[in-house]
Amino acid sequence: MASSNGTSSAPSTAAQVANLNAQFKGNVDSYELPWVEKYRPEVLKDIVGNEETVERLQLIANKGNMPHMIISGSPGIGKTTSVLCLAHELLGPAFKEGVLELNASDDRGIDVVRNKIKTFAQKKVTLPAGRHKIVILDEADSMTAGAQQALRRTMEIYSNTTRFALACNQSSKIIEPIQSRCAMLRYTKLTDKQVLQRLMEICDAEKVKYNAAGLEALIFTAEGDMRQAINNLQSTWSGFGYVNDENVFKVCDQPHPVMVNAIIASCLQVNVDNALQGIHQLWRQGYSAVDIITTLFRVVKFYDGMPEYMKLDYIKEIGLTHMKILEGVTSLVQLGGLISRLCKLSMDSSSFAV
Amino acid sequence: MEEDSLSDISDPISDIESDTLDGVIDSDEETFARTRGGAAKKKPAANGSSNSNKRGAAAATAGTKKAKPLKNSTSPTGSTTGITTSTSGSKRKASELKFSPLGMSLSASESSPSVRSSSISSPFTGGSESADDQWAEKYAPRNINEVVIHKNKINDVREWLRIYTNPHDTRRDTSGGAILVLTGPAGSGKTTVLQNLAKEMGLHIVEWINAINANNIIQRPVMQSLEKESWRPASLDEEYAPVMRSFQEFFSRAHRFSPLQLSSSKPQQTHTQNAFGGLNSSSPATSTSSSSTGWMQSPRSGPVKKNIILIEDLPPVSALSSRKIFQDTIHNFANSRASTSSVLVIIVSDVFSKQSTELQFSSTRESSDPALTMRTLLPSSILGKLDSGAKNDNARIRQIKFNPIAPTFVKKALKNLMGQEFRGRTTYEPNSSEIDQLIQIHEGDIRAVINALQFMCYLPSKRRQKFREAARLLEEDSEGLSTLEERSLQGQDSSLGIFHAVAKVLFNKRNWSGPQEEFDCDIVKVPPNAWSKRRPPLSFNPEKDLIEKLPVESDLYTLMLHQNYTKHMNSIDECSTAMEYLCVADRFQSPSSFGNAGYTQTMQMQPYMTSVAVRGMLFAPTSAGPASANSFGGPKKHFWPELFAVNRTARANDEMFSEIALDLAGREAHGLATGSVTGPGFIPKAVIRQELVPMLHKCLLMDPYRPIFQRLLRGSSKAFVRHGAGAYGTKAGIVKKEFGEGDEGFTEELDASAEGISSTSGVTDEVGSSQGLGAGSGSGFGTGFGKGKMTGQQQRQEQRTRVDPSMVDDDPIEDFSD
Repeated sequence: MASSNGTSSAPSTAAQVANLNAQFKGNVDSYELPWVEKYRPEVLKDIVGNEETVERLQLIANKGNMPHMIISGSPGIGKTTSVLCLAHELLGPAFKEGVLELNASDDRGIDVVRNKIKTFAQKKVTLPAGRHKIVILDEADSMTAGAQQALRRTMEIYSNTTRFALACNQSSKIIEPIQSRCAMLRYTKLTDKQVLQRLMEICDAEKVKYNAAGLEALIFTAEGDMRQAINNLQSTWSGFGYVNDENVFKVCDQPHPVMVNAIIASCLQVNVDNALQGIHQLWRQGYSAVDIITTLFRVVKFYDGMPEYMKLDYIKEIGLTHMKILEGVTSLVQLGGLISRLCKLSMDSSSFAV
Repeated sequence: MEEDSLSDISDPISDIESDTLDGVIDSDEETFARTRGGAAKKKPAANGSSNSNKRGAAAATAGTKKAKPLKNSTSPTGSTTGITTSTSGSKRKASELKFSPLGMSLSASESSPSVRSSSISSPFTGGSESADDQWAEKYAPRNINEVVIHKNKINDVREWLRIYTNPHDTRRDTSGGAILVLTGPAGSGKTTVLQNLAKEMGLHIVEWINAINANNIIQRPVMQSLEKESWRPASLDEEYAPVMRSFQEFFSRAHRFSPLQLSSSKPQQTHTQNAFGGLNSSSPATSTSSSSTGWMQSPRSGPVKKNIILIEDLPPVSALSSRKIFQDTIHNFANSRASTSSVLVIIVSDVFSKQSTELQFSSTRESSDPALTMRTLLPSSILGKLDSGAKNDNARIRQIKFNPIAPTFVKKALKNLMGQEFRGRTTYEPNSSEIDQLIQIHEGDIRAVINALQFMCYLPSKRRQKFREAARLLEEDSEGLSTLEERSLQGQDSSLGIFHAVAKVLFNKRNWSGPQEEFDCDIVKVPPNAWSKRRPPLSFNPEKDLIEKLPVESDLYTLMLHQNYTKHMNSIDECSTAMEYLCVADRFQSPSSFGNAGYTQTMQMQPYMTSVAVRGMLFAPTSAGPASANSFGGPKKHFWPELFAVNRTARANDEMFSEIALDLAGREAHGLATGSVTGPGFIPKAVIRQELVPMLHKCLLMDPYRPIFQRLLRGSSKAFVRHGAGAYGTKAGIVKKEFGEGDEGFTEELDASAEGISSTSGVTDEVGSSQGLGAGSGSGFGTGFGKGKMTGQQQRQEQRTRVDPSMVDDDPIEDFSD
């Protein structure tokens, strides 16, 4: 794997990774890394999006003295990758012994915080001036409050040898004393353009055959989550050998937005029968209520030619129904009810008066 | 005395091991230790390079020096302690390495980073790599005058310490150990004040720091050992028992032996004591810390001073059994006469997340994974004394609450910091609006402000400006900004972009005079009554251009909209429309509607929440928002949500309610106060809140009941019931305001109790008359109750309340906007 070469020779672009990989093609034919890992950026400047924060991290990487950090943001936007890149650039060859990485799948109760992290913090590692050992706690918001409390003093006591980097989805799940000790970095979602660019780089490197609609579908399903986009790309490519919208939606197991689009159009026209027929069709194809309603929401969000007020009410109604579904009522009746409510929005309310 | 305390800890092995102890001098471990110790010794001589090493090595040298004479003389204290140490390591193997004091000091040098002084004394040593420090540490106050919290708070702590560390002070209560509990939000200066006061007064802080379990050190010396399994403790008991035992030991040693060392002519002995006494890294740490702070400067000068035992890093107390040990230890300390030789300081930070947007009243979620608060941590006997001693500044067991630091103070400190940091380097210097926003966002947490500031200043200010510019251009490419907006957006880093994002929605930039949105009736059927819902076209796509780029959590953002929307609406109708959509949005993120899986499902619903909130805000106004800055609700400056402050207050109030329940139900109901016990026989919190407290309030003021309640309720509870809005004044007012929609009962109750004190302007005549007497005496009691001289004063007070309208409550909002 590329990372074993150390940072000095770390390939900096996707293309170079591909070249590197091509050299070993003979050996690894039957075995392929997930592209997410294969194309995970190795240096900070390859990270897509959040330019300002990444630039700060770059400066830290150059100058050393990493502060305690919390990086928060939705999944698949490069939180962990940034931290790893930063650690690689800071520590170089000492990465292996200078970094302790724990994520939610590791045992991370209070005793681990007390023992493992503390042992690591006390460990002596020879590092250049201004460099510190780094403890990476991925998905820190899933740590219990008790475990976080145990971390609090540790962070302070060992801060001249060890720095902490926490990645989480929701920063409000981190207890206040820890937030207080950290610089808070908030990552925003990636734009479609950024995702697209990366996908095309990978397609070129892997010689994937695709059409524009296919990439669009990937972006639609990923919703700014780079990891999901790349995973779906790989699945589609290895499953069907061609990336078009049809195949992408098959792989992702999501209702095709075109069908959902037709349902919405029928609702706007108060064509209840057509809309219900569409829902039934999706239902018969085996999509669950959650699948259908999620796609419904996504389509409505970006539906053109719908009055603003109506879009607002549509979103409201879909949201309320989604809540009912999440509460466990995953029946077709709920979806039918939603459709009729949506249609009603386009009808003259005076005709309902008794 | 020492013998007694130790004999119960040491078990049968001690006999065997005392034999081995004699032999150990020649053993391999000994030589090993000596060589290592020698190596460590050389380092400081060569002016050891790395900061941390130096300290640890110094400790080691000290340890080596002292160990020698001790070994020869084999003082009873020394050897017995050594044995105890070894016995508490449950593994035989473990104990072998730790036999000799020397061996212990060796492990001390290995664990040098644990040295407490690293964080305390970095400012004093003038750290060789000062540029590498985090600013929060680099610019930590060096003496008490630099601490920017309110002088009264500092004086409170100073007075208490002065009384209880001076054996000749007549005001002290000598019936047991003295305990001071410091509580408050993170970053409010608790530890800093204590450290600086200790320095000022020449006291030593002996801090408990959790060690890695002894087994782990010995058996798993290397991290990357291939055997991952070796990390697993054999059992939980094995894991925790030694730690808790060593905590007890630390404790007894810290408070018993320290005067011994002090009065002896060899102060150096402390090191040895602690070095093997603590059995782990904690004590070496404390020994060096004492040497770096008070010790070296004033050895044996002046009267004998006491130690401060500091507990900030809590031992593993999440398990009930170990918490019991912890509580017993504290309890024993408080009740033992022997412990008068030192004082105990416990620092407990508020752990509630500042930005939690829920009101955690019943805190059902908390109970599954209880975060440790003062109430759950301390034994009930201590808690009882804490409350009863609340009024008495000289109480032996006392709690001092720290508040968030006032913005002006934070600003003062930051100015000072920047003066030192940015000497001449204006390229990085933040401007004042950047600083103001940081201060507002972090709500009195000075450490967080400094951390954020440091992070911001990694980029040169020109570069920051550029990013800001770019962000603005990107978002506003189609149209220019009006000057008003421009001003309100000035100085916003994209990392501080929340105010920008709020402004973007609330200013609702549309071409209001232009044509309305077109409906294509071929695509959309629009009912005739909906034509009034037409608006001019939006200038941006709320989802794509805003929500996906939000710089903060979406629930916080929604809260911001809620906080600020009123100023941008033209009429009450528009406000009601906006509010309606906010309510729907609120419902989407309510975690209580989903059972246990609440968390992931709330995450799923978040996009709906933001979409509805944002679109609702955009839809609500029917025409351009109030044009002039002052026409409606003052200048359009946007504020940080009040809800957080309200939550804090609500939590404080809730704690008081629990205490009242505790008073009424008796000690055995302690579980109720901690929220962990509910069951028959206990009064539900809702009842206490909505019925009992208002009733008590009335009863407290009426003659036949007054003495009873005076006896039944403790000082603080009494004050709470009586004041309602007095000591808790503005806070209660705000809680009332926030609960106005959902919880009518509560509102009324608080109204009633608030009215009793400060005669809120909004009280109806009817209530006013029925509570007439109450109002007067209530405020009278505020100062005079319990001192037995009410009547006259009461009358006067009553008169004043009636006549003087200056007592009228402030608008609660005002209190939070500054």
